Amino acid sequence: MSERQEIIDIAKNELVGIVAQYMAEGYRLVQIGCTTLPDAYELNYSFDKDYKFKNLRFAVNRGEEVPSITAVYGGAFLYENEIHDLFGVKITNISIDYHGTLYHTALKTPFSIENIKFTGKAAAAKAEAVKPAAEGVKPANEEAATKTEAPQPAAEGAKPGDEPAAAKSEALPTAAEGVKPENGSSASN
Amino acid sequence: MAKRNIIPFGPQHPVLPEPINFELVTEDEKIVEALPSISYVHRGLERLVEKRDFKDFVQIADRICGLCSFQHSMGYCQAVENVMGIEVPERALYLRTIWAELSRMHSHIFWMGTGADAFGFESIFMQALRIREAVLDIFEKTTGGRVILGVCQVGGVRRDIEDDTLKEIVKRLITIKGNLEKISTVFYNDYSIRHRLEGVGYISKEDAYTLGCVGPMARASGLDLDMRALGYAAYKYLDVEPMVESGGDCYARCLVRIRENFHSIDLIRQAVEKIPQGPVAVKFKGFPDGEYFSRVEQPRGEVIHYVRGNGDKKLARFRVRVPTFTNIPAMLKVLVGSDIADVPNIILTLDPCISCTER
Repeated sequence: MSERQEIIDIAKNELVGIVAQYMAEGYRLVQIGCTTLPDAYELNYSFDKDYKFKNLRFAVNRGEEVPSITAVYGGAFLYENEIHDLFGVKITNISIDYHGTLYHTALKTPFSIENIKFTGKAAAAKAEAVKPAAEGVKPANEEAATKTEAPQPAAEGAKPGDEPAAAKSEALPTAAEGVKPENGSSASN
Repeated sequence: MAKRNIIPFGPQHPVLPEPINFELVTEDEKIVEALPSISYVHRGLERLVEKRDFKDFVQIADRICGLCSFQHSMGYCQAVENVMGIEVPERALYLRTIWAELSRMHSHIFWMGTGADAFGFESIFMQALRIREAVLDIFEKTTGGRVILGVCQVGGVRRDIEDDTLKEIVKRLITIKGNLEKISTVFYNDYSIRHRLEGVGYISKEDAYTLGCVGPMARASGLDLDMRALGYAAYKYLDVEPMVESGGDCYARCLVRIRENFHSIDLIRQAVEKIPQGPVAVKFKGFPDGEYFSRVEQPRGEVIHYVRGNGDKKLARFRVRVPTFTNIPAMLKVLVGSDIADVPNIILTLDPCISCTER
């Protein structure tokens, strides 16, 4: 059973305004998540109202600051501190700021770009991302400010015509054809 | 002005089954501020996707927590199945539902015991753990494990339950229901329990919603919020009714969990009546390429499993947002203004699961 889930790509400077609008419309904050990309961090803010699931998404570069939404949703402070401690993303004006002491880990920022071990296409994308800027690779935040689609780091492994799943502001598609059970057998992997 | 003291609650405390710390700032006996500290059992499980094939990772998901084990593995499998477009056989959906409701029961019964022990009612603690053993025996008979079931897999489940065994489970649940009714009657009617819990740890419906409460904590404040309404697994075929109370205090949270126990017994009975014959797993090929947020109703509330794949056998990202993590801000709101002596009851009626929270 696939629930309809909406992902909306926004610019970082639109975040607080849209979040305040969601608060006024009666959405509850579900979670704030972060994904390490080969050369950026992708932040995802999830909201729910009457079981309708919406996500706001944007990417930030290393060292870039993100505004806190704790002035709107007070319960966001734990998520924002977690993202700071585990990913190293700087979030400003958190209502209860632990200053890096929420998580005590032997390896600082264990989920940061420097520490995550990318595999497969992501590893290729990271290798491409660390090439000199003279090759014309734009920083992810510039792309987020100018496009309505999700910024994607350059990836050598991407096939022409591929659409990233996060680029669409609509229900996440499941595969076009489901895999049917075999008749009369208890299949096991 | 009253003198302020800072009293640490935890990480080691007789009522805490897992380590969490609250720095409680008190004036006389009243709490004026509360600040949580975690990171005592942080294991970095999410990064293990770098080391484990996505099919094997379900065993890590099983071990995020003992009490919520099955729902974690089910949520993870659902996320991967949605990304890959895998259609799970109906029989497997029903079996997942049966195990999920049994998990809910064993968690709530365990909570009844520890909650009663917190306010000194040790005989209920003993009785509750004895009743819970019957549920763990069902787990052992059907899966081989008592706490970590290891029975969910991407594409279905690893084991079937024979129809005779399913009927036997329903018979055992009738006995469990009778025993639960006896100790629930004490919770409902005992003067000392009501005196300790009624009016204590109140949170309003509006605060519960804006602070992100989920699960029994939200439903005890009047919020009709239950992820089983999404219809995942076999819930779309069953009559699921969220157990909602309006009291918003510790007593209301107790009532919600007690009523959910009985509702789970009814859901299992419905599932056993309706379960179809057929395979319990499906073979599939390929690797996950896409993303999905799987939402499941754990015993403590809504859990999110986010999975992202890039077409490799190892996932690019796995994230868990557990219900206790989102209930902590509301916990702080409830603690402020409460008496220091009520803190153990308040914490326990919120039923925190710290191994889930820290992962």
